[in-house]
Amino acid sequence: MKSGLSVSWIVLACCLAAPPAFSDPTQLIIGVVYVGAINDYGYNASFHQALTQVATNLPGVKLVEVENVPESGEAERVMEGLVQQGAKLIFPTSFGYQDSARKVAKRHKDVAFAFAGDGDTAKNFGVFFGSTQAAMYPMGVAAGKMTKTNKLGFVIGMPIGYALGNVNAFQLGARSVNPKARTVVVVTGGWSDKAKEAEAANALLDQGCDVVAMHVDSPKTVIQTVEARGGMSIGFQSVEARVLAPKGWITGLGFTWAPYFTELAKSVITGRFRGEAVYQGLGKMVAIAPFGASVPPDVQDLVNTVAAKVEKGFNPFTGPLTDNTGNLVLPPGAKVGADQMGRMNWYVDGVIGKAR
Amino acid sequence: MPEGGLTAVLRRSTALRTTVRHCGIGVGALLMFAAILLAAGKDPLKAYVDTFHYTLANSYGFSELLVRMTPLLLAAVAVALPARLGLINVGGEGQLYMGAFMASAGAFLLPTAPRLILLPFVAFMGFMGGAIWAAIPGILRAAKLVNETISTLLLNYVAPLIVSYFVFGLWRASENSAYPQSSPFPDAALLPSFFNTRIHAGLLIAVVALLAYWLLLEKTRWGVDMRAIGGNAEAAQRLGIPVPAWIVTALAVGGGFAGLAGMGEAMGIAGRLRQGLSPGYGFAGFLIAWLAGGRPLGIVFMAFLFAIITSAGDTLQMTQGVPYAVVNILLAMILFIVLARRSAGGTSK
Repeated sequence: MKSGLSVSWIVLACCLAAPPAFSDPTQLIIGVVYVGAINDYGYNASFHQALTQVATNLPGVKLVEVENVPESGEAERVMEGLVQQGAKLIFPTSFGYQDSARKVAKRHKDVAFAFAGDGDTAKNFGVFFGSTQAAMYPMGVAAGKMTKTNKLGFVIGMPIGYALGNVNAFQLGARSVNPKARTVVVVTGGWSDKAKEAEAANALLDQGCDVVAMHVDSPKTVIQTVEARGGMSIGFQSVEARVLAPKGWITGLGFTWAPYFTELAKSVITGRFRGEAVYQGLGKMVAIAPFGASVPPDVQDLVNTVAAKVEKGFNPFTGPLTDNTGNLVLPPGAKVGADQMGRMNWYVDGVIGKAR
Repeated sequence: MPEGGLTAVLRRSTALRTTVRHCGIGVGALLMFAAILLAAGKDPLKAYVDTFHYTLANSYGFSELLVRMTPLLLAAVAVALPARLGLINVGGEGQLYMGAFMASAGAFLLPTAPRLILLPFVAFMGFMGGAIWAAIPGILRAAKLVNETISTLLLNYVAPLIVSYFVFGLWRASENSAYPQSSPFPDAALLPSFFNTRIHAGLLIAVVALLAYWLLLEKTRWGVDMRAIGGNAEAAQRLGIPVPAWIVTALAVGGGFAGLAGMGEAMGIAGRLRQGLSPGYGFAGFLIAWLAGGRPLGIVFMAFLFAIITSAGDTLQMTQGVPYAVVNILLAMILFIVLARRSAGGTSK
């Protein structure tokens, strides 16, 4: 009786859970795992928008998204769940998903993974990211031109090489147009800690910084805090962030993933997916947001000119460079390329903060 | 004192009432949640069927329920045990992190030790990490200096910082982007897993911990002493029960169980030490122990319910596009129902 009951439950479950009749043949289900919320005006929003675009443009592509997945053992369970839902292309969009994603990818060789991070590639495991560091150089130019106090602020989540690279390029850009410019860094210790981000922004403004940039998942808290106190901000992650600061917005960087993701989706549909490492910068995966109303035309022109230079391959991390403790970190002519950015562990001269 | 037969009947009816009450909580919450899903334009029946389909009726899903329950059970015992003395341990999360931290220290201390030595050593270190972390509030409370509710709660914020200090510093892995996490543990330190799933030896530890907790309470003199302290500490002291020593011990042993939960997450799931090791298992453990009234079976049931609900959160996002936040609504509803029952004069403990 009891087992009969549970069998009938399972039968009922299977009937009800069966997929609906095929009206629109699904060619590909894309699974996405987000560490935050997709409406964060930032990192997660950039992926959500790009993938929504892919699903809209390619017929038969369906999106299955899971938000707020912690970078713990939970991630593996969620990705396994996505595979069970029939996903054949999975985007683990946060760095901390790496171990989990690799484990699931090893178990399911028929599912393609596009991991937003770095490390080894495999046949069904590709890695990619937007190189924002060089693109931060023109952002620094804009900040260096707009500041009145010559003190710039930068809020970063964690002191990883990529974040340090962003800060350094920003300071180098600012210094290139304003010899007095200095950048004060505050580390919050997490990619999305709103309370600490607000505190950090306030602390920077209290110290006299009048332009604040950030490298955290959502630029929202920092931009709104700065806007409320009449400061200026340089956005990051999503170009949409400009709506948060109608007065103080200067410009910002955002990710433009859609073209690359469209390519990936097509390659999975046609069975040609091969895991690769793809890192693209300004003009491809990274774009500059529209300027705010307060930015004079000559500054806009200058920033655009510098940006064009970066797009053509200008590398701000070219020696000689000294760090902010006086050590020569890059001898004349030496460069730090995008592939070594993760290992950067120093702040360039002019940055106020401790890298180690 | 009632006779033996009467006690047995009373006990059975209490057990029955407990079961009915727990099921009532579950059903009530599910009904209210269905109303919310309906209001959001989703199909509640399909939502529940999907959840059932991907958790209970699916071997992977079911194994993952057990994986999720493992730290919850241990974290709940960590709260329930000191609660017998009337102590409120809100520090499960911190104790969990310290357990993971000390276990990692053990693994990095003896990286070449054989499995037979390293595994027990790592488990011992995990227990000690949580125990030491909980003994601090215990000592402060026993010395009548600081209330343990406050000190355990505040130490929750310190423990993850200690973990961060090490994963950003001494133990930071140098591979790839140097994402802040430790190097992988030696293989000999990893808990064995079963049936080709992520179910690991931590589940056995959790079951043993629950059994030990039950035996301690029901079958030993110590259980009587603990209840005496919980009933009236001053009277217990006059009866010759060493109350301060009991306070420190109960908190420390409780914390040790939370530490074992952290050890399990590090050695059984993650394979390395990292910041976001626990998505709040320690806090959930508090809720579970409290909802279960500290009863061992209640803890199992509530941990199971929690595991299903959080799995439902993932499933509903995937199958119906329901935002994750609605799961928090469901959890909050369970709490409210319990609260309502209690203030309306239901069983209070």
